[in-house]
Amino acid sequence: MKRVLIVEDQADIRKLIRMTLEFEAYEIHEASDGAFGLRLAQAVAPDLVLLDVMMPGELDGLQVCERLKNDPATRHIKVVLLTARGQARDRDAGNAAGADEYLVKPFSPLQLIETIDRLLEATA
Amino acid sequence: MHPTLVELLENLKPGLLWVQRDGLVRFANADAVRRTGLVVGRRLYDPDLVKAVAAAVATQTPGAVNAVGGGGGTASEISCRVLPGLSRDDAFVLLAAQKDADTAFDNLMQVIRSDLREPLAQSRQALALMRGHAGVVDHEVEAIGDGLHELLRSLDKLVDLADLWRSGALLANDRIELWPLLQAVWAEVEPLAVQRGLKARLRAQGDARDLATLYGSEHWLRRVFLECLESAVRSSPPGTTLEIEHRQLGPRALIVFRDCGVFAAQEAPGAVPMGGAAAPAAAAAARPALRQAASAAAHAREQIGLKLCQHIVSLHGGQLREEEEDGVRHFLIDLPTGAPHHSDDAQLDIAQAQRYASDLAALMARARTRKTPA
Repeated sequence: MKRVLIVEDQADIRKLIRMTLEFEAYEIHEASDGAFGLRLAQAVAPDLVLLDVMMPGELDGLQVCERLKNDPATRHIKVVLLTARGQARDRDAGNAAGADEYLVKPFSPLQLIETIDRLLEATA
Repeated sequence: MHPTLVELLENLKPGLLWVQRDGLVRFANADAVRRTGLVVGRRLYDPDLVKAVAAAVATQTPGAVNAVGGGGGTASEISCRVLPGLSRDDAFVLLAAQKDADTAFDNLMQVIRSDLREPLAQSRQALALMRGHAGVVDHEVEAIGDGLHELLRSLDKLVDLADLWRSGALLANDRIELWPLLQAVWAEVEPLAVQRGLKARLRAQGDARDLATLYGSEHWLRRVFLECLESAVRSSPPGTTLEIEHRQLGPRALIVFRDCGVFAAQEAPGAVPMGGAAAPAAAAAARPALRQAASAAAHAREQIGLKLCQHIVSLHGGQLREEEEDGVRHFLIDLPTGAPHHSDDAQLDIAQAQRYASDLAALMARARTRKTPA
C-alpha cells in the first residue's frame, strides 16, 4: 500500500484531503506544520508528500521540499506543493525547490488523485 | 463565512472578534484589527481577556472585562463584552465603541493621508530647485535647506504612518527571507555609513540556508530595516562598528542591533548630520536657531520612524523591544516566522469544500471502478 503524508496547517483542508485520499487505498499520515512534517517524512518514509507552501513556524513548504530533495535518504519522495499562490514566480520557486507537481488552491480533488496516481506510477 | 455575513460584521461600529475557546482568532472586523492588532490566526494576548473567553465558553454566560489593546504599537484599555458563541466552543468579543478623541485621531490620520501627500511632493521639488541653483554659497541658505529636508522627511514618515493606520492596508503575503533583505537594505545605507566613518558587522547565527522565512509585506519590512539601520547610523559616533545579528529561536526570528543606539534619544556627539549637504563647518556657521530647528525636526522624524516600525512589526505579529545586557542597550526586532492565517482563509475553506462536493460523484465512481475491474 502506498504511503502518503499530508503536511498542511489548516485542519479543514487537511480533513478534505484525507477524505479525498480515503477513496483510494493509501496509508495516510498527517502533520500540521513544516518542521514536524519533515521529521515525520524522515521517520515514515512516505512515497509521496502533499505539502502546503504557506505554513506558520520554522519551515514553510518550500523549505521542507528543498530539504527532502537535498537529502539522499528522502530525495526519492515525490512532492506535490499545494498553495493559494498561483503566480508564475511561485511555480518557479516550487520548481527550484525540487517539487514534482504544483497545485493551486482550491484544487480539484479528482485532479489531486490523478496527479498522485501519475507520480506514483512513475516510481513503480 | 457567507460574504453577506462578513460584510455585516465588518460594518459593525464596535470592534468584533470571534475567538475559539483556546484564544485563537477566527474572525476580526477592521475596527477590532485596528484597535487590538489581532488578525485571523493569531491568539489573544491579554491574559484577562483569555480568561474571560474561557469562562464564557465554559459557563455559556456573557461577561465583561477590560483588556489591553495593542493596535498601532500603542497600548490602550478597551472595554470588552464577551458572549458565548454559536457553538459551545467559541465566543464573541465585542469591543466598546471608541471615545470621541480616538475618532478625532482617526480623522486626523485620514486628513494626513489625503491632504499632505501632494504638498510634500511640491515642497521636495522646490527644495531641489533651491539647491540646484548654481553658485549658492551662503551657508545659512544651505542650513535652511538641510532643515527643510529634515522636516520633509519627518512629514513623509507621518504620511506613511497614516497610510498604515487602517491595518487592513498590510495584506501582502510576500515570501520574505529576512537575512538577504537585511543585507540588501544595509547595502543601500552603507554609503551614508561610510560618509560618517562607520562600518557594520552583519552576522547570521547558524547556517543562513537554515533561517526561516516569513510571509508578509516585503515593502514595509524593508522600510523597518531601513528606519532601524538609518537610526543606528545616525546615533553612532564616527569610527564605530555596528554589530547586527540575525538569530533564529524556534518559530521566531530576531534581528538584534547590539549597542547601536537605534531610536536613542539624541544624535551621537560629533556625528555628521544626516543628508548633510552642508559641510560640518557650514552647519556650525549657521545660526543656533537653525541648528536647533534642524535638530528638532530630526528628533520628530526619529519618533515617527519608531512609531512606523512598531506598527509595521505589530501587524506582522511581532514586536520591537529593548534588552539590557551588562549595562549595554540592545534593540531587537522580534518577528514570528512562517505564514500567519489571513482573513481570506475562510473563503478558501469554503471554495475547497465546494470543489470536493463537485468532484464527489466522480471520486466515488472512480473508486467503484477500481474495486470492480472489468
